Amino acid sequence: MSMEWKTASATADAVNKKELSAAEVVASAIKRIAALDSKTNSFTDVLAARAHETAAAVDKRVARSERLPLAGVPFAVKNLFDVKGIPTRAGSKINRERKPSTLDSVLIERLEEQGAVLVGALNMGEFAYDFTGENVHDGAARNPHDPTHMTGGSSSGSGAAVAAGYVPLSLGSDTNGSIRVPASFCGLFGLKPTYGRLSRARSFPFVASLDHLGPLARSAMDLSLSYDAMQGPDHEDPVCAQREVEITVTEIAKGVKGLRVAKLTGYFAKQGEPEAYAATDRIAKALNAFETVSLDDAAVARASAYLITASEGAALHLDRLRERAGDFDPDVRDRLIAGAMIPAVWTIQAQKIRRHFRAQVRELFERFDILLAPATPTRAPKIGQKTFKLDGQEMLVRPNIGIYTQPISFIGLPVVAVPVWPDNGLPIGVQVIAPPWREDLALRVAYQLERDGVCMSKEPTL
Amino acid sequence: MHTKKPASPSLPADEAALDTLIDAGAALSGLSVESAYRAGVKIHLNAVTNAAKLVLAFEVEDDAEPDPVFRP
Repeated sequence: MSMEWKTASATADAVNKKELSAAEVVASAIKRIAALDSKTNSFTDVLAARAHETAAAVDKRVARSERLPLAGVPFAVKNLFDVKGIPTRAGSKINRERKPSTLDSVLIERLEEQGAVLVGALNMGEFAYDFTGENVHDGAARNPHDPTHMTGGSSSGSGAAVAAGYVPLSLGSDTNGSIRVPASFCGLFGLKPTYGRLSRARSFPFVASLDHLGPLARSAMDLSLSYDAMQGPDHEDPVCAQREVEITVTEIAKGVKGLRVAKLTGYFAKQGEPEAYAATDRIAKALNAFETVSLDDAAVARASAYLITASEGAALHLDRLRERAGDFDPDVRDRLIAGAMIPAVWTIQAQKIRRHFRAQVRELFERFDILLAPATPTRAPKIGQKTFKLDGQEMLVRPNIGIYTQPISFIGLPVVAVPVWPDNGLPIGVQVIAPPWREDLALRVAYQLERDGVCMSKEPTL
Repeated sequence: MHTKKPASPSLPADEAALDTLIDAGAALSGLSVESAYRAGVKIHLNAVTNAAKLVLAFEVEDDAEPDPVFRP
């Protein structure tokens, strides 16, 4: 296995055993980015000097016999995370005029404390209002498995950088699906934790009611390692739960025996391409999950998430829309302006529906431990594609890639997106959905599927 | 409880209604919807109103609490 394709856990193991130095690993990552990222356009900032300095510090800690769970693991972050020394652009033209950040995001600090090394910031859809990975200012991130296709968004660079083998780990944000969609299109494992589980402090927001942060990786174990490193309360994020760290690495290999798994049907069996259903069926079969259940109000849940997103997003950007509308990505601007027209009663009603939908899902989780659903209705569309046909109906691509992810994040459930390869073409993801605060269960399932060869990430030819 | 009622007839159902909403909303929020943006804004506002039809057709109890800061 090439150094570039090593998982985070294998890299940390080798660095802890002094078979590799963090300096060597990071130098290799930076060399690969320089050589190949013109094909994938995943990085907006490569922080070579910082990365070399951090790697040297990690090697010193290892030399002192410190054992670091993420020793020498290169990682990169969506450019809405604050990174000391650069402006937090959040995919926009406007934000790159901000002053450089004086501190790193909390999650970057936590990963580096465990030995990981930040190597750069990543392309994304403007202000995270995107499922495509296209960006008028920085160009589209390109899918490493076929650069003519979308990476998915809005954590587009986070998907491309890991799938291309530049880094084994990245961080993204997920308001309505922006970790799970790139994981699906790029053939990766992605974890959207429970709402409030990971601190969002020092990251640029989008929709406070729905914003989550989380990792993408090429293995379930790497999700688990990084998730464990990032957990814990944080007074800087008022939404971050006052829960102690609940380690998942020690749980992940416990297998799936005894877990009650069901496939979501109804809403989740409409408006998709056959491969989306086939992928979900393949996962269900591998888990011996033969029961299907319907979430009656998934459509209204998705509609509610849609309204809250449009309304809160518009509120966040209202001043910028008044003063600098021409500096937005037109696709984002028009959606945000439309959001500014929403009467308050519509979004208040949507917020009330959350509690109802949560109760409906809680009932399901009394009978099941895990629910399965497609992550996206299709495999990655072509870059520039504006519409697709879902169930015979012509629909806009940008707002509708997230039809299966939105109802789930609406009530903050933890999800691991797992990659399935229907044929020799592009991958498609399946959502492994767990009850609130039970990331460990979804990670266990993902790990078992990977161990059984049902799900995997594949090295692209670049 | 939580039964569905017909979509509210007061929601904008045609292009003229969307235009009226855009003009009024823009004026009250201090936004300038230039002609180059208008068609895109209207497409997205139409999508939003379609979502709102579903949401407003959903009956919730008077004592239902909104969840702006949500605890799963």
